[in-house]
Amino acid sequence: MSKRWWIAATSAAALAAALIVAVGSPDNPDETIVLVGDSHHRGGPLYFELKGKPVRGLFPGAVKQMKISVVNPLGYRITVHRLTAKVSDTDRRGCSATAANLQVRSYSGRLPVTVAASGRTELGGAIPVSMPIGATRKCAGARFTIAISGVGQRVPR
Amino acid sequence: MRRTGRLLLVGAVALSLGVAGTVYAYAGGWTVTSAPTRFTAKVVKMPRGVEPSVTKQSGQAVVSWSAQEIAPGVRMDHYLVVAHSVAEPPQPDVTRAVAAGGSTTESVTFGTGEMAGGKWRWTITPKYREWTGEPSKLSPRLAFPAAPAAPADPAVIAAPAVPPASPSVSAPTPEAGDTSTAPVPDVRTSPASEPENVPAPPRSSTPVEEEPDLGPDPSVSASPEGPTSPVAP
Repeated sequence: MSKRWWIAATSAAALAAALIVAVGSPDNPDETIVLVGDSHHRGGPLYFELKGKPVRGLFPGAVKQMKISVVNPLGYRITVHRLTAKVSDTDRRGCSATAANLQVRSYSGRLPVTVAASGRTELGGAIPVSMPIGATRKCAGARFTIAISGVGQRVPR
Repeated sequence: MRRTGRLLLVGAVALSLGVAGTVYAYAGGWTVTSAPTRFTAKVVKMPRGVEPSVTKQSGQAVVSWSAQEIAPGVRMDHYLVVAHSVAEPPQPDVTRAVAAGGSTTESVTFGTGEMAGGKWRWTITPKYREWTGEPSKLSPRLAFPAAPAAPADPAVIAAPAVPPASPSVSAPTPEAGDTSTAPVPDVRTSPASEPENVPAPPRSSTPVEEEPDLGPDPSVSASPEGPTSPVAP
C-alpha cells in the first residue's frame, strides 16, 4: 500500500513540474525576485501609489477635475482596472462630508491603464469633484478629504 | 494494478490543480491595490464686502461699489446693501437685496422717503447662492433733512427740487464724516439738506448739472424738498 502511495506522489510531483515548465514561469527570473525579494514590501502587501494635486477653489456649483498619477514601485508592470473615490472627512463642524456638500464622481478616463515597472503614469482622465449648489454656507473655507483607492493586476509577460 | 492506477490519477489531478492555481496567480492573476491615498479639496472663503462709496443725488442716496468675485471669473450674484442709521435716536436699518448687474460696478439708490431726517452709513455684503460674506466697512456718512409736511399739490410731489448730480461721483472722501456730491449752488436747498456736513474740500472734478431735472424719478417716493421746488411742467 505504501508503495502505491509513493508512486502516486512521485507521479503527481512530476506532473506539477511539467506544468510549471509549460507555463513558463521559471524562465522569468524577474518575477521570482519581485515576489520574494522586493525590499520595500518584504513580507507585506504589495501596493502601487496614487498621487495628485489638491483641488482648490470650490464653491457652490463648481466642478473641478482631480488629476491622478499612478506610481508603480513594483518591479513588474501593472494594469490599473478601477479607481474609486469617496469624500471621507471635512475640517469644519457643521459642514458634513456628505453628498449634499461635496460629490466625487467616477473616474472619467479609460481603464485599464498599464504602468511600467518602477514607472509613473499620469492618467488621461480625472475624477470630477463638484460642490452642489445647495451646499451649506458653513462649508465656506472648509477643507474636504477625499479618499481614493485603486485596484489593478500584475501584467503577465 | 488497477487500483494503483486509480490512485495515481486522483493524486496527480489534485496536485496539478493546486500547482496550476499557484502558477496562475504568480504569472498573471495577481491583484494589486493602491496604498491608502487621501487628497484634499479646498473650498473658497466668502470675501468681505467692499466699502461702498455714497453720494447724494436729488435728495436720494446713491450707493455704489465694485463687483466682487467668489472665484476668478465668477461674480457674486447678489449683494445685501444695508443703510445703518447713525442719528440719535436711530432709525431702523434699511436693507436692500440687490441682484448683480454683471458690470464691474454695482449701485443702488435709496429714496428720499427712506433717508429723510436721518444720518446714514452703508455696508455691502456679498452673496453667492446661499452663501453670505462678511459685511464691508461702513461707508462715509450722509445726512438727510427731515421730510416736511406732505404737500397738497400732487404735481409738486413728483418734482425733485435739487438737480441731480452726475452719476459719476463715487469716490468716498477720506474722512469718515458726511460725503456728498459736490456742493450744489442752490441756495434753496443746500443749507437745509446738509446741516451735518463735515466741511470737506469740494471736488471740483465732479460735474453738476446746472439745469434742474424736473422729470419725476421713478425711485423717489416722496420729495421733502417739494414745497420749495419749481413745479414740474
